[in-house]
Amino acid sequence: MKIMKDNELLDIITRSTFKNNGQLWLNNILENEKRFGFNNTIREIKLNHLKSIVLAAGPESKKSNDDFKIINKNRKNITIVACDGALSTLSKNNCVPDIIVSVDGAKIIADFYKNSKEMLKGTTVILATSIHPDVVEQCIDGGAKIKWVQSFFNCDSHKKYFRKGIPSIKMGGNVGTASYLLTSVVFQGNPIGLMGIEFAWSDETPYYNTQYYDKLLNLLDQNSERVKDHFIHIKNPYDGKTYIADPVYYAYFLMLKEIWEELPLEIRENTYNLTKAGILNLNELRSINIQEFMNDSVESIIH
Amino acid sequence: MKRKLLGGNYDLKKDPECELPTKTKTNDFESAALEHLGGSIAFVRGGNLYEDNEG
Repeated sequence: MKIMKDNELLDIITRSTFKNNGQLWLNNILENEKRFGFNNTIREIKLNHLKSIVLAAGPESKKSNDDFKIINKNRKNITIVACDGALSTLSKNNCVPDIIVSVDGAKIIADFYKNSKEMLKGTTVILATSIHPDVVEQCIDGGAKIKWVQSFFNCDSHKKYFRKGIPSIKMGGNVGTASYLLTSVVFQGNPIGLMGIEFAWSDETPYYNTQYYDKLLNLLDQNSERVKDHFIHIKNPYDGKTYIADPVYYAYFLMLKEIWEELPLEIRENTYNLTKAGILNLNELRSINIQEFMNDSVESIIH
Repeated sequence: MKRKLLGGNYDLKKDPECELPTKTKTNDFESAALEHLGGSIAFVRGGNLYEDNEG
């Protein structure tokens, strides 16, 4: 018996994701290619404003309407790159993003678009080639401008997933990290504010209200105590609160942490965490509030 | 109630209410997770962050 280390967990989640979703991704790629074609890619995207906010669907950030008052007041001067899961929050706050990103191949992702159709007309939507065809249908129906990207590179191990001509980017295992990497590495947003990338829930949240609880319960013999043993508790140095992450979300954090170290220093120094909740704690990642980010002084710090 | 941790950033001297687990069996979890768990999208390790793949 031994306690699992971060590297071991990361390896398990990486392998299980491929093992359990690989066939779905391949089926999606083949159907999307046949039905829709991969005609437009992220290569065509240019940001109107380099100052960008990457908006994810972290549970704590959804609670703050005040942040959106500030965002809406400054809306014309920033680019908003939103994860699909943040659409309902954006809709509730009457804030249409410039770009929406979807990378998860599951059919249920289509519901985000179905339930927020008013956000889609003329909006750029970045879709991974392995996205479910129902997502593509919803985007077309809503009048979105689809731009394709792929999470696979031209190498022997991913040859059957790879399509020539479509840009590839590391996606870091989840849509929040993928959105950040697109904004920073590809679109060269500067500065970038991260909102709602939390990878965790408040420790007041019942375990059964977390995303992977049911799956964990199934794989751990319906034993809720064993499920609880596999959650990690982390104290956030900014708000002093404790957050819980299941193994998958904790692995998401570890993936971003690994990629973060590969990013050029300039990108890391120009990235700010605008959400003080959660477990996103990385070297050189500064935490400021949304108003400070909107102030011109953020840019003068950099240049 | 003591918290059982997979890992984390607690200092056990400062946070005596926390308890590191001694009974997490990596092999049991690994085999079950490989069958049932999975994240959203591939996590490709090593290599470049971005490739244009043009032409």
